Amino acid sequence: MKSRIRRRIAAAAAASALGLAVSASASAQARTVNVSAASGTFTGSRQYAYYGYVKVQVVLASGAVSGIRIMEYPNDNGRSHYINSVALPYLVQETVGGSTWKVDLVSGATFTSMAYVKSLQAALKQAGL
Amino acid sequence: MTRTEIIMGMPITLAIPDREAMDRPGALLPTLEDAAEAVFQGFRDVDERFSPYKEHSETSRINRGELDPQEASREMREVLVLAEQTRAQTDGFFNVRHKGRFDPSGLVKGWAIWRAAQILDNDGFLSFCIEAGGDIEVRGANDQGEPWVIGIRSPFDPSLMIRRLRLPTCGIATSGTYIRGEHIWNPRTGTAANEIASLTVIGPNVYEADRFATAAFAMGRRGIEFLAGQQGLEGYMVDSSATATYTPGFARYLAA
Repeated sequence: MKSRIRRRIAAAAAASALGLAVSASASAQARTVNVSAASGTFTGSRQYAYYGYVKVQVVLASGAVSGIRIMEYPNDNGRSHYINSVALPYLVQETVGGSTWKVDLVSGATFTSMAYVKSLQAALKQAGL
Repeated sequence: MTRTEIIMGMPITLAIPDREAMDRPGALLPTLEDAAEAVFQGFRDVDERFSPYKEHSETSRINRGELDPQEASREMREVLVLAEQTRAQTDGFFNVRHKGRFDPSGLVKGWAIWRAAQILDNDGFLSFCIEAGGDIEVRGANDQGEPWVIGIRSPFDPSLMIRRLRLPTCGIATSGTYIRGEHIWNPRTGTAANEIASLTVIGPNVYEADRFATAAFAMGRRGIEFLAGQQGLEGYMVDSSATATYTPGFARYLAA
């Protein structure tokens, strides 16, 4: 039972990492945890993500993730600034998919998502799952 | 030789083709292992000095008013000068001061990788890659003696890549996020459509690539146009509808 729940949560976490629908739901009060059917709101630890900290809260209903709320995440600076328009250059467009290739290294913004997963894991551990 | 350590809250990887151990006149030069240790120690030192999350770092002491920036270490003063330069070059989009606090993090990562590359340079290494949190200084050729093959991570699924690049000596950096405010955005239903998911920049070195990736990402959709107008910089932007827009010069790096 416990491992099945863990798998379900892992699937939910994976789904959220994929950008699928995981909405922040209204937070419920934390309740006593029943390992086989944990319900309530659990907050993960703050995880260092270089540009700041990430902290997530997970809402469980009978052992299934019903919502994940991002409590804290690193902010970008200067979003509201205005930039002078440059002449529109010729840009190329393509649709991207996803593949697994053999490469030497990978460039990507991974720090936030890694901290996210760690904080989520901490929240789930707190829920006894 | 490939070695990874977690420093500054992120994985840092150093890859050096084994032939580098033979190609260099070894007697007077450090071994691959010694050189690697110097590189990782460099990152640890940078973390101690610049982290806004360490109580005794120079950054924290400057923020508490305990340290006059003019009396800070040579490294800190160098970063302060570079920060001011970058602010001017990016129309103010890059600013290490916000809400009254000083936070050089947006600049220090690329700078630290670049400095690490200089350590290897000085020891006579011609080929290596140093990656920290997805930003990479690329030098020379890989284990097969060919251009390094670098993937661009999918902003929609960190286990996948959206493009494969063959890179000569250069720097590459990607800014992006999976998380925006309180929601996780959904490329399929179009929530937050047209938001920029990730922006990859190739420049002459990782310091240039990183600071312009950070600044151009903050510009939103205009970031890619800004990059197209910059000498020596190429960009590849992915938005939430899984459409990539890239500067014409980026095409020469794309592998099939």
